[in-house]
Amino acid sequence: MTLEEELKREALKAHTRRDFLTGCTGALGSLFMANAGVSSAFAAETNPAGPIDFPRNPSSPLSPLPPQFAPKARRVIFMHMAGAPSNLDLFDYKPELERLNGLDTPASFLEGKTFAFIRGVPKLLGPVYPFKQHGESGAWLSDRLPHLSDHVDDICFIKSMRTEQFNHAPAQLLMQTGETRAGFPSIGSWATYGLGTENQNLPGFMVMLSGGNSPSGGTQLWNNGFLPSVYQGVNTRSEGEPVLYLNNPDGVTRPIRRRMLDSLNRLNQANYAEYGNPETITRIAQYEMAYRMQMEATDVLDNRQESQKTRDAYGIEPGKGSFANNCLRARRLVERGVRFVQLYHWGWDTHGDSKASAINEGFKDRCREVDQPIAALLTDLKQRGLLEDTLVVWSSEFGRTPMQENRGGREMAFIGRDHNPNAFTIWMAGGGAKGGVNYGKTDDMGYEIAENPVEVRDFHATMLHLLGFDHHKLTYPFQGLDNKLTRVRPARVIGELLA
Amino acid sequence: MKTKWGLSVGVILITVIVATMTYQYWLSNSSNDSSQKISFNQHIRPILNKNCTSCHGGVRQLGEVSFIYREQALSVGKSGRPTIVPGDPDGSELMARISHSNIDERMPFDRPPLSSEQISLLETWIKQGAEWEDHWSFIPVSRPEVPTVELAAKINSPIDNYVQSRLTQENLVSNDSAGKTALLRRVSFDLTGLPPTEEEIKNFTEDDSEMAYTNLVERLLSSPDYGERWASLWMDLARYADTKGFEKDPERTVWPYRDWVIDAFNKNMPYDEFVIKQLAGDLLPEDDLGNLIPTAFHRLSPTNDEGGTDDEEFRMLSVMDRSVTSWGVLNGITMQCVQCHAHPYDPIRHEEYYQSLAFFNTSLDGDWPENDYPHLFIPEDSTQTNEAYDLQKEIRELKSSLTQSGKNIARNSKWNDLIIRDAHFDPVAGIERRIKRITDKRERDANPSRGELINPLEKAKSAEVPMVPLMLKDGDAFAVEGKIPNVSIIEISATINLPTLTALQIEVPPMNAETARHTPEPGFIIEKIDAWMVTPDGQRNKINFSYFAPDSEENLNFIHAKPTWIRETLAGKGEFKFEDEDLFALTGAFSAKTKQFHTRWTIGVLAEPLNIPVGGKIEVHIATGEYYDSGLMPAPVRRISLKATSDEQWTKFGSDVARKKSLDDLVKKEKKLALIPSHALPIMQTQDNMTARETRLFERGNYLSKVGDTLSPDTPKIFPALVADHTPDRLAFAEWFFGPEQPLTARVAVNRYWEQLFGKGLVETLEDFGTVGAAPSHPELLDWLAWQFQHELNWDMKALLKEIVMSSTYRQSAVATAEALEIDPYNRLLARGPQQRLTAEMVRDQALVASGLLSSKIGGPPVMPPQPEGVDQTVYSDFMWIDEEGSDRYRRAIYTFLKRTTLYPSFVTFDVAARDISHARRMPTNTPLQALVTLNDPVYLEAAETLARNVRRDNDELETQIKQAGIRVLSRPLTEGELKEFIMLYNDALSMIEGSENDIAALTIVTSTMLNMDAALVR
Repeated sequence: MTLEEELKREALKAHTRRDFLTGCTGALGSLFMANAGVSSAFAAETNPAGPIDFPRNPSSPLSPLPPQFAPKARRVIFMHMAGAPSNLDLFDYKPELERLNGLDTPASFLEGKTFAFIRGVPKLLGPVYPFKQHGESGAWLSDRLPHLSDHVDDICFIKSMRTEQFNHAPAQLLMQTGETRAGFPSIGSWATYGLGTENQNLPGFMVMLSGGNSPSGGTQLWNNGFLPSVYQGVNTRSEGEPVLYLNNPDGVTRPIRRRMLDSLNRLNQANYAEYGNPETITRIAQYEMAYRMQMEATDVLDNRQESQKTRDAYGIEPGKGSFANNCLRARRLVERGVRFVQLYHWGWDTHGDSKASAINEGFKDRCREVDQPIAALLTDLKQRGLLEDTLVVWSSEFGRTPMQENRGGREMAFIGRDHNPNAFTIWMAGGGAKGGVNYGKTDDMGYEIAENPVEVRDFHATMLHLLGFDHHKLTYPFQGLDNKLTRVRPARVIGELLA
Repeated sequence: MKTKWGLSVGVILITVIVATMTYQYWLSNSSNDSSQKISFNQHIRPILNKNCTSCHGGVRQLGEVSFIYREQALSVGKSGRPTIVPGDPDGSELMARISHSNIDERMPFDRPPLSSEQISLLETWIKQGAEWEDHWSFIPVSRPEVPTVELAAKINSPIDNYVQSRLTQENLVSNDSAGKTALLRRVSFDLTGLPPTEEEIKNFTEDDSEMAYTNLVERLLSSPDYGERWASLWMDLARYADTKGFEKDPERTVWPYRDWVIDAFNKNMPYDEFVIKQLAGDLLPEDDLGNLIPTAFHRLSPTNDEGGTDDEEFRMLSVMDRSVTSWGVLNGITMQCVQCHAHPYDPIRHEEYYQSLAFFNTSLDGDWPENDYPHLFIPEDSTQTNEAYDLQKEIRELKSSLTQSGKNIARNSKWNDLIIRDAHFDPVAGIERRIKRITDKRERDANPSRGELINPLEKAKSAEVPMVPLMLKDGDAFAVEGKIPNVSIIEISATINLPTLTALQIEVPPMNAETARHTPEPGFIIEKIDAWMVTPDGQRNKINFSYFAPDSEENLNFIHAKPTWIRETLAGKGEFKFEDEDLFALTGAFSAKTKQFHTRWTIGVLAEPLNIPVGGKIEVHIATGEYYDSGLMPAPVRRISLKATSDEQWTKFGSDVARKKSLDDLVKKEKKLALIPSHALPIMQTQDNMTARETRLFERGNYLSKVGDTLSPDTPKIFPALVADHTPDRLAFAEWFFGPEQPLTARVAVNRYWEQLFGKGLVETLEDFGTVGAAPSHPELLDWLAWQFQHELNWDMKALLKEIVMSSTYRQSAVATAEALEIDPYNRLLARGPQQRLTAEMVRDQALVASGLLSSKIGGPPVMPPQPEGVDQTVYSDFMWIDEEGSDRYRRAIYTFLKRTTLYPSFVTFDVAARDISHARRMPTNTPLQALVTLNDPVYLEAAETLARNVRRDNDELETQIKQAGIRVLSRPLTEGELKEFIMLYNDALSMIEGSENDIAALTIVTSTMLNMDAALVR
């Protein structure tokens, strides 16, 4: 069998059980069986709701896999606003809070509560910006999001999110991994573990940062945790090479690299002939994939290939890394079959302890940075027929207090709000999320949930549902437990959010 | 097995088949002939675990039925009938339900019925008395018989007897020994983490003596490289990193611990000592501060310095992590399951989790922001080590004696409760005090940004600020929640019925002393206490205190309790001034930081006995402070109580020359210590009785909700009892793991070493030896190794490794024929030798060795080899990754700075375990991103180019250049074919590259290709 035949056979082989077991001399027995799935013999059968069984091609762990049932969403663009934007100044309009603006916060709000920074008796703070209703659904939005206002009928708002954590890093980890400590797989890792990815020349889970800083949770937010590292999010970069180590070194041209790989393949084949280690075949395939990835990843992340008109629509300024740039890159990535694109935009931690972090100052810039690009992305996806099966998520780690922050009990020069884990708004669009929905309600102050609370794990269960998974059944055995994104407490899929 | 989506089974099925293969071997007789004794472990437990325990186990007990403990299984379920009646299958509900004709009644519910064979196994077992057995790994190891085999040529160790006897049964023939170079490469990497050098290859291949291999193994085991290789493994288990984790992810100095581990491996410290020192070095009787270094092991858990965190929450997370990590690392027990409920599969009860936790819950640290206290100060200059250690010992003794002497008098004094008649916060006085402090030059120098606070404070001062009353009840003063000004002085007035006053006790009880013992309240900082005696006619006489007697050693932490920035500034100037206010105030000498578990007190000793006229009053002003290190958050006092005494002993104590001298000595020594440039290593210390926390069970694992009685530290009942002649502590716990009957410690340890050498453990789930972990592939071999390690070798790690690598099993060739792959694709039966991918560390170190760049320096602070710009973008941090220059650029991988939130990228790509939680094994992968690292990462380019230049320098001919490079990378001579391939590649590259040094460039293409060969990435 020639190498090429061998590789072809590998690609086909995993699809039948018989082949899987009787297997031949090829790449059988590499990645998954060797390292991952075998860790708990029990895992297979004990749970009546049992984990799903994956037919995996071991030499191509990211090959596309069918979900458990027909999915509404085939890919995801997940935008996380790191730092927690004020829901009360964007989506959650509270006329009653407006009326009470400037009054002392009633004691009932403060009893038994812990805050990150508020001490003593803070003042209530009404919406800082005017709100208006939009679209047929009549969704309330503040004037900070003029572009997004045109899309409300495509958007499914969840206004009753709550979380367990009021510190950024653990709350971000909870939102991205389902666990407040580091070391657990990110949603994107779970999605690519469950579904593989459509384009084998690109990573299946890609991450882009903007706003000048990493989110507080750091790289653990897109980490594979206990899943094999092939499911880790690959951070693309706005400066330097777009993916770490993607570019050939100076002086190594593409033909030279090709020539190197030709030698390498022959050498490795000889090694395989001697030892018969199936991993060798896998390695040959991975080097070839790396070669293709160099071309494709460079190409797909290059926004200059888009028309000026498109770039203007997103509000891209030439030569600048920005959220707008990343939104356009996100579209280009999902268009080419990348399964999960994660965007983080930093700078939303509006405590009001400086100009940049003030709701009446820096917050305006943050809104400007995201409003037009998000709207352009939604339009663009829709025009290309991609929105239908691309789930767009806009989220954060928690909300902000209806009280004005008084750090350490002191009056502050700028307007800010402290962290509020009890209520925040996130939204979804496309990919089977129901447009024009405003789900859940907070109380008159926007302080706690009044109706239909949604826990982070409920949201995760719902997202996985849209991707075609029963969240109980997308599991991986680790430390004696069939681990899942929704962790151990009961989670529910929220039917009202589904189109 | 088909799922309803029609997908075929991959992973899982293989799993089952491998497991079954193992099982069938293990079962000497799996027949269910009723005359045969049915074994619970071999026949019954697998059926129950696969089909029953997820609904009828430790967590879910549907229908009030559970199969975890025998007594539960024999009891009456919701059906009203006993689940199992020993000897009576017909009377057992279990039998009725598994063979029920109605599908709605039949178990397992909603799933295919059990096979008739399984049903009859259960029936026979019940008939035979339904005897329970502990899970195999919970049964102590007994000395196993070594099987005899007829293959003398293949026996080098009893290990081979076990492996061969199994292979014989399977009709398999094992491989012959690997070739000399292949074996040399394998054993060199396995034992030292480095490839053999050219000279070592030459020496070994030319040595035809019988002892050649033995000598090689001994040389490798005694090489200093050995410690660095095996420390890497321990670093994963210890969740070692050079930063704290979360958000800012600040640096912390823990590398002296890493060096201790390397040194311990090199010294071949026995495993028991190695572990006991890490778990409880601080409690060992020997008076050696060096024993504190290994205790940093449990200070490696992440801490959260993010603004506004609840320190108790993250302290609790660390404590839970320490207990869980100890169990995981030492015994392969998945204790984390038991945080919220009884273990779902293993016989460990919910409260037993918290009894384990109790061993760790009284450690002194508390997730304090920017303060890793307690520390061991290790001088930068090792010639000062003795001096610094002596000072630290003396400081401890002084603190202890000072605290004790005051407490002794306090215990014997007769105290009168004072009734507080008036208490209020005076915010303006607080603000004034604050402004005075901020304008203090030394403080401003220490932290210029504090000056910025003056304006808002002055603004606040100019406003009308009313007094805020405290509530009075039973003579105590209580602050009203929500009405506590942040900046204030509490002014208290109390009546006193004593003729003379010699000491005044200021107490700060928790609001609820009952619950605070396990669920603490916010702490406080008192910076200054002033008192007056007010005569009935209103005359105020300032009370002159000579001393404040602390309630605990914690409140004698003069210097180290200060914020880092003050400490550094003052130390830098060589000025530590303990003026009156400093001694008490700036040191935070009376505080509960940052949480309060118990009533705290300080005793103000009067310089002279004070006569109190009838109707006299005591007025006390208490200035509270703020947390310097967490955004100046206020640390107010919420409750106050006063006591007074006329005991004359206090007056004597106040003027006692010896006491004064002790205090002076303490200050002097602290000062002296602070002036020795040192690394501050976080270590474990236990709280004293005064401040020790209580442990209770957390309801559903939630640290805010505790139930039941106080739990004392203990080990789970399933294991041998913990024996201690005093209160069981961490030391007793650590030593317990090495008791003669402890079933798991040795098994888990030998399995770990086996996995490192063979790529797979005898128990594949290194992290789980419980009932749902994998069954051992060679149970008798595992037990033989465990017995050897514990009872014959006395935990000698090098001796154990030697035993394994000397075996024929290890030395076999790794060649896998098609037939062998078909029969045993994962080499569970060990008919061939191991061939593993290099670890992340080895990939780097090999490139450095082959190119000749590797620095041989051992130990020291972590280094920063080149990393692309912009990889680290940590928020709120001025951390900078500065690429090393000089030899520190080429240190072994283990010395690379490990930043938790941004691990070194090429290591992550090669599967280094995240260092946030303990990892027992890495999951090796094979990905395109790995190819990009070894092809394009400048580190590997530099290695390839240096290698090219070096072989050119040493050889005139291209052919010999390539040959030398080949042997340096692959540890063996190139084959004819390889040589030809490289020459062709060189020539082609030469023609494709232009420029003056194109020959070097072309040769670099060749050496880079070598570094990317499959043969170069495995061992």
